[in-house]
Amino acid sequence: MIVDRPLRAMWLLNHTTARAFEVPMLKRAGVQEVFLPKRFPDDARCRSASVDWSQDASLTIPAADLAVMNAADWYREPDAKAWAAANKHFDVLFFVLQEVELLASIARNFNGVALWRAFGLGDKQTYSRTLGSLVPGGKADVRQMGPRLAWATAYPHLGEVEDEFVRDLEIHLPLGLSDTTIADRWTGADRRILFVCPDVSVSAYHRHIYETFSADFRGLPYAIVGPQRLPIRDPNMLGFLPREDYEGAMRRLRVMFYHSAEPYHLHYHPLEAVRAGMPLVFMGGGLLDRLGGVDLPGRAASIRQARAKVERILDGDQRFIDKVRSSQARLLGAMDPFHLEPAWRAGVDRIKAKVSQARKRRAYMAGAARTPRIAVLLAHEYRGGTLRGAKLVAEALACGARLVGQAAEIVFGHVENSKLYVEDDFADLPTSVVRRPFRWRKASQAEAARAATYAGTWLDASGPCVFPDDGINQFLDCDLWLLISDRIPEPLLALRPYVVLAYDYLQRHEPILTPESNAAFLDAARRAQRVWVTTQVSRQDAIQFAGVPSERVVLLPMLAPRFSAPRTGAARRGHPYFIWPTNRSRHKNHANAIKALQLYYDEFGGRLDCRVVGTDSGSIPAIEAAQFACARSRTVSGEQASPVVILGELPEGRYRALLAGAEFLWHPARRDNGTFCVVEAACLGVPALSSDYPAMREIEDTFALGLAWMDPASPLDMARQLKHMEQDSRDRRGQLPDRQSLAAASLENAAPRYWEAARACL
Amino acid sequence: MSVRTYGIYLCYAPQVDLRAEGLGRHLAAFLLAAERRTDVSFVIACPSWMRGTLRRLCDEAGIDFRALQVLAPAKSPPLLQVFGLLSRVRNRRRRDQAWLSRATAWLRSGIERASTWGEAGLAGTRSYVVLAMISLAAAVSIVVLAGVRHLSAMVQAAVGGMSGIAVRQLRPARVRAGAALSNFKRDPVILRLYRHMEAAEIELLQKLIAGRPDIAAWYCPTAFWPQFNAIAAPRLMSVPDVVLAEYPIGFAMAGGGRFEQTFHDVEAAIRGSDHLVTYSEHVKRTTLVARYHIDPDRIEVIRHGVNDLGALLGLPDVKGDGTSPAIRCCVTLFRSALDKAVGSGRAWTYGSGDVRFLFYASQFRPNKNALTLLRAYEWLLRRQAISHKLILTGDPRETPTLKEFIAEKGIENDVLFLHRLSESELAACYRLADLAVNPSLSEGGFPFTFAEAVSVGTPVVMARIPVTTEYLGSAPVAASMLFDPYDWRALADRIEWALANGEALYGAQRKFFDETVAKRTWAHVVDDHVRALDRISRSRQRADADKVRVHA
Repeated sequence: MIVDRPLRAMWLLNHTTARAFEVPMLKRAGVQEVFLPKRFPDDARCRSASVDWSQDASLTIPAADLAVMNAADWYREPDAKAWAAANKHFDVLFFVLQEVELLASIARNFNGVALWRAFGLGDKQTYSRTLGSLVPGGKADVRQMGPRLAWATAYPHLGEVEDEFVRDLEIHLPLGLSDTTIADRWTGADRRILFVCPDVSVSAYHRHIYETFSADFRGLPYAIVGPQRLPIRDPNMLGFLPREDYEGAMRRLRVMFYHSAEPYHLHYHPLEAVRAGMPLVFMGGGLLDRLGGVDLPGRAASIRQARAKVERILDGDQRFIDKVRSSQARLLGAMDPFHLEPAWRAGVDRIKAKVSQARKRRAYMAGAARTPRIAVLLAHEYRGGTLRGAKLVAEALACGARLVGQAAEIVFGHVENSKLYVEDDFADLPTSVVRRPFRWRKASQAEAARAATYAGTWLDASGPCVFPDDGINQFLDCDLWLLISDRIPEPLLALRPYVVLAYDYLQRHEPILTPESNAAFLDAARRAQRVWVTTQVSRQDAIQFAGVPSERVVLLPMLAPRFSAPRTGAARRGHPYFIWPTNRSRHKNHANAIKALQLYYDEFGGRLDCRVVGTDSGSIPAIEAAQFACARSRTVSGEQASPVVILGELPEGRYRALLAGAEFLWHPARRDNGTFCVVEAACLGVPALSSDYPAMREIEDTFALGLAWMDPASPLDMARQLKHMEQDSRDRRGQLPDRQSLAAASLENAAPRYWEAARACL
Repeated sequence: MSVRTYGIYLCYAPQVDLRAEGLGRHLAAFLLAAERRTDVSFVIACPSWMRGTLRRLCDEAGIDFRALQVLAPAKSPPLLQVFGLLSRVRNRRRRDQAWLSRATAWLRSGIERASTWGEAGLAGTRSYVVLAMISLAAAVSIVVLAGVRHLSAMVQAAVGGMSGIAVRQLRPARVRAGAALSNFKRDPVILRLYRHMEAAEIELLQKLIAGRPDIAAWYCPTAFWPQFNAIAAPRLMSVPDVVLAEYPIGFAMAGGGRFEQTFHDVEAAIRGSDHLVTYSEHVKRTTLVARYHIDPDRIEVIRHGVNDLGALLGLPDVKGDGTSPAIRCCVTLFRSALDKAVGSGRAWTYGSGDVRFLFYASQFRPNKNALTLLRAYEWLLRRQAISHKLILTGDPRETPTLKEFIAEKGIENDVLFLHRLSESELAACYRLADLAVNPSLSEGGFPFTFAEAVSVGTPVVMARIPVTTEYLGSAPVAASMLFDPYDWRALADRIEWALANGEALYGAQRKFFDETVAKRTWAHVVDDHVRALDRISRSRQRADADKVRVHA
């Protein structure tokens, strides 16, 4: 559908002087409405920036959408709502690549024509190199946008140093000044040189300029202006001047020296000096030469010549001063809006043609929108809680999409291992979720790079990569990969955007990984488009330990498994016991748990048996080596039975029956992402005694289970609390939440947030 | 009536046999159908080295080659002629291997005898003159032998690479030259040489093309040749698909680097294109518009004509019973197909004509989804107890994952790979199969499998992919014959159902074939192309006329 709406542009820059010229010029050339950003980075690069609200009044878009756009940060990664509003009302945007993420965000989210405003680069930088080395995937983004991206040059010769693929994108929109009339109020009463140099303490580039100027003009009076982040100990440094003072300085000071001989970049201040009528001495070979400065009296071919000319002006050589002042107006001629308007009209006509093409293409493609497909990939051969969690995530995505009325296809991928998984392990997946086994395979650097080339994308890795091979198309039929856990030993050949769901960063708290594995796992998270976590603790670890920027870490609600109602009349029969679910992992705190059990039985006269259950719990060395475990073997010969019985991994039904008959559940782990065993126990009317650590506190906050706490570092406290539970468990049952309250934290309630988080990455 | 002239641009490498290329068969069908058009004539522009293969293609397809206008440089490049000569010598040497072996053995034994005699003489002589003569004879023999060996290597080195090779060690050069002759596409030096030669040839070809302003527009049946875009006249280029872009990991892992240059050529050809033809709306939308940002108005969708294998078997009634001559002929062809089995010494034992099988005719490319078919087949064989064999036509040696799967599941005896079948053998396999299966994830247009199977009386189940649903539309037969190609269980279920309901499925498919598929002949395809060429040439003429008016 071709949208019939006025041609609106987003001019996503905040440069005060550029705005004063370009916004009116856009309007004169036929862009009816212009949006201006209201936030800009608190950054040295924005020293000439300001916010202008004046254009909002002329925008004919709904106030709510304008509010969303005004709140967005258009320099980094605007959120989905901001892009939705932009696409609804705007066909054109102008941007500068201050933050490298912005290009990818525009490529992925903006449907109209984007113009990369190029004012020229100094310090031998080029736009081509910026795309090739500074912007991750920059060239791929450019290819992806095709004719919807233009390189809007402020000077016609910028392409001289650029690669062909950048030159091909050029639309020339010349730099200008809103007003080129000379406001001749210069007095020159202050016998000093005016030199503009910001950020001396922060930027090595500007530091070098400052030092060179100070050395070259030593012995002459001068004042340096420009915002400085840190104080500079130089009596000549005036730092940042408010506009009025700055203009005053240009009126009073005797001469301005402009140092730059950069052929592809020009500052505004020499032009501002000319407008103020201030004599300008400048170095030749730079961009001013192209603006007509080649034979101006103020031009200097060398520093020696520059110093001589400055000295003549400082010394009051009126004839020379007049000659410089009267001739330099020529520089402003090239900036005159009247002269530049035809070029802008031609440029805007080309933009309009692109807009028309983009609209046509959008209309053509609109009929073929495909249902998004998301792969939930269980990255490792997990069983137990992680397998259950992964299936729940797949279900939440399917359910979330359904609840908000959107179509989505969810594919559940797991490592192909017939010894580990049987079909029944996946019987609880919803029928709409398609299961697909895969094997991790390795691609050499050359193969991976080739694959990226074929896919039209880029490779964020410099060595061999792994990819999930489903024997079909390596999950490339899916639009997004959601990896359950970051346990990926080598860089992922990620030809699709991917998200990592990191349940925890146990390695930060337990020495369980080699440095190499740890680095690989952290890299997997850092390269992900988003990292999903389900606890505040993991969120902090993702930021503090994995180094993931906070805006990429998404905190989602915990997904508690659905636990069916206990069978009515499920009675506690036989000798009373409590249940200890565990596995072989170190963080399960076996040593302290065993000490606590020994204290419980030997010192506190514990009366309850302990039933140990869980994957591989039958082969945990620490438990097997314990005295009461040895006692277990004696039961065979009819001697005294051990109170601790190791049952290993039980089928779901048997486990639930065992749990339902328990006095309480014991969770003595040291620190992890928490366990839903306590929620399941509560569903079955069984209270729980848990180690006190942050993730379990979050579970308590979410589900209000009335957990009893113990210190996992103190076997004595653990034993003491076991004894308390033995005595209090009946009372604690009364404090358990009812099923209705537990249902409030159900998968159905959390599902829309999961879907929303996934949709934001599509 | 005025006759419009259009050009067809071809630029295959030397040694390509057009008859073995899919595009060659497409071209033959196109040219044959074009013969009936009296208002249009086609000129084929191609490198000099393509004349031979073009003639053979025409002869086999029944096209009058003499009536065809071929625009090509008069002579092949000398380097290519030398190359061809060496190839022939090499082939002849292979044929004469037995004679050479005998001669070499005789020479070796002679040398051994002479050296023994020489050693004895050398050790036993009392004469300085005899000693000097024997030493001299030995030295001369060594020099002559070494000279012969080096001369031979130098000659081959000169052929193998003009510039770089001369400075290299002689033995590697000889090995390289020998290998290059057997597979020139994979040798980087030869490939580089070929690129230079091709560039020179194309320059000549472009001059010939520029000298024919009477040719109103040009058509190129593939996107392999970006140089086609150098033609100034209106151009129409066919882009069947860009399958590497859709299956990047599969192709990157399978093809080594050999697809890479082709891929870049295809991208350059598309980016610099004028007007495009493709076989389906799906490829137009997802590949040409979405990926390459081509203006949709510049892309024409022209579907294939029918590929009727029934005619190939030469038997009007292909649905005869098992004792009919038609079936007996098919069984004979099937036996010859079984002789081409790769990796199975026992395949011939299944040539009785009683063996029932499922059939998937395709090369093994990453988009062909053969592993999903194997998964489904293994499950049907082991869990659902179907007794059919599975016959495939790809080469399993090129795809380790298939080999791994077959070995892991132990189904080597039930999965046969009949590679490099002739068209008649292919038709016979289709005819004898109980069911044809096509799990392919992506094709340029509606897969040929449908017409190939149904035209010889065999039902088919196919992947539900956009090009297929686009073609079938709301045809009632669609629901019963399609499956989700990403789900092997869905494929297995569909096969099982089709085997149980083969007659009903075939009946519905035959109806669709007769009413829709068979009605689109290659004459229609030619007409559509001519219409497209007419349109682009007229629009260029209008634009040129506008320019003249503006200048006036």
